[in-house]
Amino acid sequence: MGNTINNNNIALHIEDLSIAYTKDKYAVKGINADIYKNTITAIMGPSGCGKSTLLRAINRMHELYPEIKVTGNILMKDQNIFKINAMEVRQKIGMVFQRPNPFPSMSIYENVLAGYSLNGIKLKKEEKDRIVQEVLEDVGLWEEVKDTLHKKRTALSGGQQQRLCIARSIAMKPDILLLDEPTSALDPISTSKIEELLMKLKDKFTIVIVTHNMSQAARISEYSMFMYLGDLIEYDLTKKMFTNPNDKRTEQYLTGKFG
Amino acid sequence: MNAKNKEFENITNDVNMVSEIIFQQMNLIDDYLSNVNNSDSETVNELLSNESKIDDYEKLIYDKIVNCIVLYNPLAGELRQLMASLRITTNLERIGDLCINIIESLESTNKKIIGEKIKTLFVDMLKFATLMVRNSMSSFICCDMDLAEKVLNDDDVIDNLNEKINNLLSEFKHNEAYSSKEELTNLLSFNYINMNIERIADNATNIAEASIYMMQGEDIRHTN
Amino acid sequence: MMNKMKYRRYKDKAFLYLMFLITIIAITPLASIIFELVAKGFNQLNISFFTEVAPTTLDSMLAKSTGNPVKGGIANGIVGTLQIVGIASLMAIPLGGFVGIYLAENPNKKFSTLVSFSTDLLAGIPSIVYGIIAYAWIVIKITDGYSGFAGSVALSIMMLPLVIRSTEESIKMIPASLKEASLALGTSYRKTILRVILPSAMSGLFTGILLSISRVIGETAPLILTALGSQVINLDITKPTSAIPLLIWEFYNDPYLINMIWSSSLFLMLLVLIFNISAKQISKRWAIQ
Repeated sequence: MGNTINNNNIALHIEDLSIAYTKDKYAVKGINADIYKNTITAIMGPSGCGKSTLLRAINRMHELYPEIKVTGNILMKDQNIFKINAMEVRQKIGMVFQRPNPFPSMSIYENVLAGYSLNGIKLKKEEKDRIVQEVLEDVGLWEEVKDTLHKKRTALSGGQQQRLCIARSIAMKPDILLLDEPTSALDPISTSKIEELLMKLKDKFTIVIVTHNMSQAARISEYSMFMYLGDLIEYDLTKKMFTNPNDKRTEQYLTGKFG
Repeated sequence: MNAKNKEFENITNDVNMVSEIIFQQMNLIDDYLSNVNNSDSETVNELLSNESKIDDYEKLIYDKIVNCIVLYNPLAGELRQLMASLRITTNLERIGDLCINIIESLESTNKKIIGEKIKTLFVDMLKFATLMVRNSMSSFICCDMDLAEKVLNDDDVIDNLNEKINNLLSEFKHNEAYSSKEELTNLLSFNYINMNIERIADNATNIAEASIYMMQGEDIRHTN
Repeated sequence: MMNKMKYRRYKDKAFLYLMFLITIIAITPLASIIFELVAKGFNQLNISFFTEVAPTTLDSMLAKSTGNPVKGGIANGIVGTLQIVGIASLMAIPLGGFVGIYLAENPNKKFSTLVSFSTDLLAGIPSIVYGIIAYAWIVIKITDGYSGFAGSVALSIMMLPLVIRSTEESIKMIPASLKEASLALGTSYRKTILRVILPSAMSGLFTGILLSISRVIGETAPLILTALGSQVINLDITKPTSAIPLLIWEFYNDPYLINMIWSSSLFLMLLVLIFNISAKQISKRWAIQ
């Protein structure tokens, strides 16, 4: 995969990561991988392969369920994310979920700034306005919502809601953005708008996206991971993996032998 | 077997059919050279009608491949198989053209003054080229890597025969004053035929390379 | 074949009519209650009803003998009810809210099962028992005598199961995705509950509160044993305090005041109705899609 890899290129270093739901049931087994900065990495695999579990461990969302045990390390900028404060991790590693979930009790303006307000970070009004406009422009929502920023309960379409959620995450200026099947609940046009958005955003962030849609992975990612039954089977440049995979199982998955 | 696999199989069968027609063409040329049946015009007509069949098949195969890409979004090995099928069809079609070139050239020569030496060499070279095409097609159909590599190496044999013919022709050029326009025409035609048979072998190696690409995923065109 | 179809259609129609009839029968008691109260109590509702304290036996005896209308209203009852129920709410709502949040957030713990079970038991205790408990704990031990506070305590314990259940249910109805969204932004658990979950559950919570208030506002038995009642408007909750249901009881027991039971009952029922209807309207308006 190239010899020019040094620590400056690596956004996340995943070391021997294993995740278990109960004592012997491992959802993720001994994953070793480096995620490169300013790239889009897709994690693919059939249902139950552990891809969402892996993703959620990166920003420690698995801790919502105390029965889940994680072993191994994930290093970000030489810091082990399991050793620092979970809330700090999540401010640096944002997440967008499968179903758009903007806060219903807040206006669009408040939603974008929710990361700041909920964390008690005070900002001046001019700064707030600037962040909101900048971020909404980044996600392509500004023109559509600039007149209803402060209205509570504005009706947004699924695609707009998801873009709002992305805006909310990137307003916190995270280093890494995690997305868990972000377009699987959306129509094709919204999906393609969001794919375009992600390709634009990778200049500013490192993006890791779980997707069950192989075409999507092919379209937007530079690197792809193929997982099966908790193991990382293959991790390579997307172009290479999709035309000439190394592992037979990857080949079988890509040609629809199991899914 | 699902629709996708059936479609893939159909395409492979169609490509195989084209190759069968090509083998027929090459046999017909062999017959012509060996004077097996004296009705040359029948042979030529058969060759020409086969050629239009090849063109039809080519169109059909292209359509099927496009259809597969649209419907099934093939990846990895399946994608490579389709791409190989496409390349091989093109190469087979070119071989078909080359056969027509050869037969038309042969028609324009005076058969009575084709020397035995040259005829033998042509027949040998043609037989060997035919074998190369057969082997390369087998390597595609049967996914036989060794066979494909053999074809790549066999190119040397053709080069050898090609050189022999060239030497013969230049001897002829140097040693005889051209006694007739016919002899000059024959010379040019033989040169042309030589070139075309060599190109057939070339296309056979292309088919072998496409086969290797399909099996290995490495594109080794233009490296040899 | 045709006859069978006809027969079935007749059966259908008969069933419909039967359901209609039964519904009418079920509504009849409510309708007649409302009718009775309005007919008998409506003309007693005037300004003085709300502003003057309840007449005493003496007042009414005098009024009767002089042939004058009985002067007085239920102002002391209204103020007393406001006080007692108000303080009961102040105690029950935060406590019930916290317990409800705990139950919603920890559905699988053994302790939660215990709390849940206890809450259900609590809801089944007869109201007079609450009165007796409050008598023992507050009247005797704390306020050294009947007091509005004791009444508040009794009522607040009665409100608890309702507040707990409705809080728990409202929070459980909030999709987990909202909690995830908040936590994924690096928010602390506490802030997530307070600033994301609770505001989103507000309609359910508010409805629960209104319903629990309307439940206890008319309770009489516990108040008899705790607040006792008072002739005057009493702002000191450590002393006996009046309440609307208490007044209704007093009026009933006094042959000279018995006519006032209708207006008081009507007023009480209107209060309950208003609370219930408000609860429904609010839950509709504030409901999250």
